[in-house]
Amino acid sequence: MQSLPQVYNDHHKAILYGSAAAVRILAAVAFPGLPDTLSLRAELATPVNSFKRLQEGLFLYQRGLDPYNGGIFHQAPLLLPLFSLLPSPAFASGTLLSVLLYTGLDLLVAECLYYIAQSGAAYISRRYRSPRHDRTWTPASVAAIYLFNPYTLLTCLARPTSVFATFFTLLSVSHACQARTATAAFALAIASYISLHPALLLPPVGLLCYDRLCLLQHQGRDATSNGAAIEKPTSTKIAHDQRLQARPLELTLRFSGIYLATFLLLLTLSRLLLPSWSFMPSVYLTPLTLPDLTPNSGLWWYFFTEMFDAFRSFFLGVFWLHMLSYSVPFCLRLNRQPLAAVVLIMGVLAIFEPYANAGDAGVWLSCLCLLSHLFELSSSHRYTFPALATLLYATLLGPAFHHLWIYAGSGNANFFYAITLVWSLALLVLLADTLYAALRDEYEAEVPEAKGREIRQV
Amino acid sequence: PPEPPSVQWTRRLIIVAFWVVVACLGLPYWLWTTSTYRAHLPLEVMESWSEGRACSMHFPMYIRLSVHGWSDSMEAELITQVQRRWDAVPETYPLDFRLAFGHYNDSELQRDWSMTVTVKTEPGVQPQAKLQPMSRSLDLLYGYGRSEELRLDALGSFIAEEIRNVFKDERETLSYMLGNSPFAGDQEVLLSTEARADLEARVTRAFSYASTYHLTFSLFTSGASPSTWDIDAALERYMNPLIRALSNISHFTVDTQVQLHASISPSIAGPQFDATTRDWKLQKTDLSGFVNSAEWPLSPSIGSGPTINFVLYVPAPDHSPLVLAETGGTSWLIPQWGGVQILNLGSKQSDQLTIGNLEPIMLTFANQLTSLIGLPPSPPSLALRISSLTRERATSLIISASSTLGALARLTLKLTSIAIPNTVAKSVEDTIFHLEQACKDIHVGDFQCALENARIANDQAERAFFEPSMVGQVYFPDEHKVAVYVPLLGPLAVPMVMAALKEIR
Repeated sequence: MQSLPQVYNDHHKAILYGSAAAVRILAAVAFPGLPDTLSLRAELATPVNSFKRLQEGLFLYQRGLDPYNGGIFHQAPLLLPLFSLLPSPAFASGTLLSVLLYTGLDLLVAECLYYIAQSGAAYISRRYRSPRHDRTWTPASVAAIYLFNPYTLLTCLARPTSVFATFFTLLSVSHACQARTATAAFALAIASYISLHPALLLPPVGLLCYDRLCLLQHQGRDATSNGAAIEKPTSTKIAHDQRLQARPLELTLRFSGIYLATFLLLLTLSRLLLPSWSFMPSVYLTPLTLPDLTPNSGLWWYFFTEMFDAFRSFFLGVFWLHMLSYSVPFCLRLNRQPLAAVVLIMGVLAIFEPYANAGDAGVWLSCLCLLSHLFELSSSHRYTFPALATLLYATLLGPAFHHLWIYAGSGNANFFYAITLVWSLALLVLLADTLYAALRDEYEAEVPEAKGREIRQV
Repeated sequence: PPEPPSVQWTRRLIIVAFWVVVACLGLPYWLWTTSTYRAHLPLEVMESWSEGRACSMHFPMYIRLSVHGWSDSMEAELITQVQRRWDAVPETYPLDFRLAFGHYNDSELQRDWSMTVTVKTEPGVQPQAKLQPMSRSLDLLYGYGRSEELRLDALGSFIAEEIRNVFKDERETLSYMLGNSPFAGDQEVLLSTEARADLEARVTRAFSYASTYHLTFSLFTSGASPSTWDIDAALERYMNPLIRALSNISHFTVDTQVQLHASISPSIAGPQFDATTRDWKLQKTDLSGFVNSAEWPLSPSIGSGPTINFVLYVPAPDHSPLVLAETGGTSWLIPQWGGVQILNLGSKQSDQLTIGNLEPIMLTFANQLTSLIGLPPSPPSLALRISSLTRERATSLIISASSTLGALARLTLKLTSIAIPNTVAKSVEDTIFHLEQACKDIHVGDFQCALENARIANDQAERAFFEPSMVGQVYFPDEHKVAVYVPLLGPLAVPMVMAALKEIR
């Protein structure tokens, strides 16, 4: 019996990944109708990432027609050659292979999260070191939370294409933690190409990149100069050697340049695949002008079903401006904890994006665990428990009210939208709470005697 | 402990960052998306048309005169005499007679003459005037006493008088139409009240002008027989000549149908047996409800353009003969709808209506068609009546298009909150262009083209005025804008404004 924990401790990653893959494949095999049922759920599949619509586009693409002619396919063109390699999901083998593909993606995402957690970017940055750095959870826990999160499981079986965007976003963040600017920009560009809103992660990921670059340079210098590997800086204020440091302007230009170049390259590649440029309005104008108002778990669809035509474009602008106005201030305030800025902006995007879904929210909840060292601060007695309970309540009632509205006909859209609002409220409470925890952590680093005391905002 | 300055600056920077998004991106976007688009309309031109200042409506009638056996100089002399008569008694408004003699000059041969007058002079006969029915020409026969010499001035006044008589009714109609519109000139023809009432009845009875009319001929039989009619041959023989003659003005499509066991509408009293005349009488009050629109299939929308229905009703043998109560006749006209006739077959009931049966029917229908088209009842020449109809229709369309333009201009000025899309501006431009063309055509004497242009102008004016997207914002009170903006922007604005105020203080 001693051997089992031994095996676990030695190969915990392998066991973790193996069991996660097994759960997914077993679910797909034991309940053959489950992937198809889940891919029709309004909370998991939205017009811009639905697997069924991908099949529509694939059908047209494989016959040489313009896949965007049908008017319901709004996803990135480069996904089409990838999915045309898989057999059609009309057969069981096709479904199983697609579930396998998404399982692979999930494992890769877990690997990125593992790496981010391991790199310690959450609690060490070039100008800050959290006093709670020893309270963070192990990387394996973070990966496990992602892999066994029920939202992630359901998303894997429903197979929306936003998982690709998630993967590339997290890949970009993990490369930023390794201070690899070029690959981070490249991955973020691919993520924005697939769905538009990761573009708003440019400032925080750039900040993270710069921060880790300076930190690693400094650590490298410290290591070579002192002859010993120092894992953590000994003080919160680190002296900089300005002349050898990366210039922020140069880094910004390099980052944005590679981002734009990759984006344009991807657009050109897509154009080469397709007969015309018609994919541009279909893929990129859909989140901007919201022509498709299929109900989803986001906030936008209901509002725009009832908006007067004269004000529609104004309010679309308001919603987008609201979403993007959080980017820069978060980076400004949390420039000492760039990973916290990244995670919190991911949260803003998950809540306020035009076609929100439970999958993105699940990914964000898992990424919150990267900031696990803050959890003791996050008013666990006041906000976290009600928030999580509300999440559970909304998760259970949401599908019920959706069924009541659309299939039973005895509810109406207000029921479903109310539950959606509750869901967003719960996520927002978690977001605000985490922000408070991050700020309080910084405050306590400066004023150590405030630990444990109640504070108020003046 | 007091805040270090770096923290203060960070806070200020964050507030500035939020406000920059609002001011530099939000405000211009708001202005751009919520300002109504008003295309530029040529209001002065539209008003000048609607007030009748843009076109002086006078119709030059080019009349060719040819006298049998005379030389050119004598004809020129005669023409001067006639003109002198018209100038002396200028009762020709709005028609403007221009006489030219039949000298075969290339440019004048191309012209479409309004009328041709041929004069023969013979001694000892009474003066006669005869109009040709199928072409626009007037034959005059002038006689003079054996002992007298032909006097040019007498001949001239005879010709002037006859020509004026031919166009007398048209003058009255045109003057009546123009008198009711802003295009009224200063000389108006005075009409008696009966003449005015007649004119009004004639005008309101007719359909409004369309370039295509759909004619429907229906046979409704009360019983099971007669069940067929020889309508194609009858149409070909009796109706098609009229349709062909009218084809310059409008295009006609013809459909026919037969309906058996067609019952009279239950909402009317029905025919009453009159013992004195031994026939069934239909009351005048029943006439409007006679057409049983509930059960008789009579109102299809065949295409663009109005449908003119001609109904032939054969009553049941026990209800025949069926006549109208007051007049004893068997046909009546329904204004702006069509005509109805009752065919009493009497003892000769048979299953098929032959062309002999249909002859009087068709002739009555043709007559009703001319009234419904708006064809003037005089002068007694079909060709002249058709050209008169062209002029009348062109006039009414120009008046209608101008008044629509005027209404649109007043609407634009009065309702400043409605959007004026580009399509409206384009339609207005088209309307003004075609109105100007029509005006030019009228002044040149090309009434066919004038009618065409006036029709297009009227269509475009209607399209501009009734543009549906213009009225979307009319009934949107400003208070509702508060209800639209505040629920979302209010809660967004509160923290931003409070933070900015705290920072400034």
